[in-house]
Amino acid sequence: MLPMIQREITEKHGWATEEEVLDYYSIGQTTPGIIAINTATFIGYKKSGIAGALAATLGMVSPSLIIITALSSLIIAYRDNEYVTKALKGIQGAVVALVAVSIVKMGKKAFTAVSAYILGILGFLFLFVLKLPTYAIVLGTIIISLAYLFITTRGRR
Amino acid sequence: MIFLELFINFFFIGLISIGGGLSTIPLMTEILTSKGWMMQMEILDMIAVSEMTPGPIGINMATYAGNKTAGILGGVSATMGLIAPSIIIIVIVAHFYTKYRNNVYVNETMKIIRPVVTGMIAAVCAELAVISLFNIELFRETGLILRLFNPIPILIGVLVFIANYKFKVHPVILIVSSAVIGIILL
Repeated sequence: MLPMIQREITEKHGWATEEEVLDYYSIGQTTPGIIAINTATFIGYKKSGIAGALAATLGMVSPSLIIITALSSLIIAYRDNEYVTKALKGIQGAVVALVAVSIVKMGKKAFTAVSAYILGILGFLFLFVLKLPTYAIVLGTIIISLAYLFITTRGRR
Repeated sequence: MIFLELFINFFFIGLISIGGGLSTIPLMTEILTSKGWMMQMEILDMIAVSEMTPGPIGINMATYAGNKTAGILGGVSATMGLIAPSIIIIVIVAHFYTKYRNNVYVNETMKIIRPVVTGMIAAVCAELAVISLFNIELFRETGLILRLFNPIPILIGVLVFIANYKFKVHPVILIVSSAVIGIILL
């Protein structure tokens, strides 16, 4: 996604420099929500305020809205068809595999130290075994890590 | 009203999903199944359609889920709900973004959240694998270990993993071929 944004925004239209786009993208990774949407909102807002943010974001979601709406109505309409059922069954194994590939890729960025592996295993167990609510795990992680950082950085001063 | 309910729930998903990639999956799955908007099998359909179409996967999934729950306007409500927190937060952050980017708390917290979220996505993936690749009910009835496995979906899964991870074959090709294999063999 990033190379395409850079090509369109920097080279074609000159709405932001390459450095700015990289900045927006790296911030988009640390704020809640979809990274591509965060980046688009950022570029739109910097270029022309709230209206720009809305325009860029709506532009970003429009293809999804159109394509998915068409495809999903088809699938929902034909869900009980024998061939569609078989096709979807065949796809299930593929989907699990594709998600697994994404997890491995995310893991390469996330698991940078032994402590990170432990955190990953904890996240897995909290959801898979303990079935804690997702929001509780995320918010709990944020609160505990902020408290930890607050104590450790204060101790250093 | 269902449209407002979709908007609010997806707003919450957008607010809690940090870390990119598939980070919307755990909360979205939890909400969709607990509200009775989708069954776990349908979650797999949703991810399949979202993987093979252009656009961010989180947005595609929201549109699909909203559509499934309440038609076209449902899809629009869910999608708008998902992006609303992004717009609000980015507009605020944009005002002090150099400070935000270099903030120790933000950067260090991300290092802690990313692995946790990755583990959570793995948990959802494991749950989906259990329902699609294994046949626990048939195993309980028959007691035969071999009955526990769904051989064709497992084989498709292994092949797709290798093809995508090692040989970078595009998801569309893999999903379409899996569908064809499903029609022929299942």
